Amino acid sequence: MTRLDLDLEVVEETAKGTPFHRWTAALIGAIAVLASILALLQVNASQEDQRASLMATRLSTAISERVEASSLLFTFSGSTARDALALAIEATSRTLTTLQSGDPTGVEEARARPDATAAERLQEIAVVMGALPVAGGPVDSHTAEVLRADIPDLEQMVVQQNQQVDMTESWATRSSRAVLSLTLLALAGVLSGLAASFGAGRAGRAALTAAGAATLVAALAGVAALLP
Amino acid sequence: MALLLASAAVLAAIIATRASFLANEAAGHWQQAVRSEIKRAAATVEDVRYVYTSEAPLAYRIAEAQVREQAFREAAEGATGEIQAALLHEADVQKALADALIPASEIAADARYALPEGGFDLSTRLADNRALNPELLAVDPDAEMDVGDRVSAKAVMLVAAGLPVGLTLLLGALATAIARYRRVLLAAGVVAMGSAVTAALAIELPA
Repeated sequence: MTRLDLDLEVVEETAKGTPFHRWTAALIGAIAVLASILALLQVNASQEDQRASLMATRLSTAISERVEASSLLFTFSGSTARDALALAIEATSRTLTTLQSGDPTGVEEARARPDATAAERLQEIAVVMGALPVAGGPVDSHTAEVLRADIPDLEQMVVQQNQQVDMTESWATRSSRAVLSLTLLALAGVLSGLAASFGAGRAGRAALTAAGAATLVAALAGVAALLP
Repeated sequence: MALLLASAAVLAAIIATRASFLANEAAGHWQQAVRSEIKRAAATVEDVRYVYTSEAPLAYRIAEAQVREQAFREAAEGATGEIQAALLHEADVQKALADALIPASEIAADARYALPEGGFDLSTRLADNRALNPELLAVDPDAEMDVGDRVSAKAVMLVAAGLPVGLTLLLGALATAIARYRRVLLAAGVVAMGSAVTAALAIELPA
């Protein structure tokens, strides 16, 4: 009989809800709400972190592509211009040497003039053959863009790449704070469960207080996760 | 009350699992974009390298021989005797050089690349070389990135749809402890739960 009376008493107390039970319930609910908010922060920060990291990698690749491809065209253009100039110098040297050492037949001087003419034409051809692809030309837009990349373009891309790296670090920090917050919240959840299990005694109150403290610290860490 | 709390817990688990899958899928698309970027860059650089370092120097050497031949022949027209013979001889040498080199050059051997003012159209040659591998031309890392962005946004929105689930758990927990407002709290919990389900379905189901 005594045991049955006690059980009924417990049921009645639960149904009414003592302050201890209300605080425990409120804390468990608050933990659930906070957990859903922190999960949102963590997922968002994690996604932004990954995206920025991979964008930084993509930009590094794109910068390397532009440096390498444009340098190949630049090297060819410079090489052909140098060859054309060398032919012009050769023609001039032939003329000068002929003037200094004499040219009884006139052949050497006659050979110099067409080379000088050819050198002028070749300089124009070198410019045409080493020209950058024009927009709307036969070359696809991406290749044309890569070959047309100049130093200001590359500097701009480096700035963007650095920004992505900075964003990666910032979002990674925020993600870590959100994870820390969720970890503390898990601890708070366990302590709340213990408090509910212990009941309104000293141990229960201690567990509930510790759970409240852990929730508060978790909330603060969550706020920190909002900061860049 | 117990049913509401259990339902909220199940929905939270479903949302978390689905959001996790979506987040992983988004990361997969982003990583694929990086791989595509590397693939596209390698293909572009290789085609540019082949045209401008393997083919173009030989084509330019042929153009040089052709231009010199023409210049020597023009000079020979106004010359006579030994000088004319020497100039024509040099023109023949340049012609022989060009003729010997042309078979080795796909650019010089194809009349489509010859420019009227001399030299060769390397842009068209590069475009033709690139067109040999259309699958590499079609590589588009930005498109892959966009897909990843859309999936990632969906994952984040789905987690946001979990916020009312947390509220449902709060209201359900309070309903267990505050008998006076139990009905109101339960009703509010059901509404919160319903809004979470609606939001999750709206995000998941295509428009």
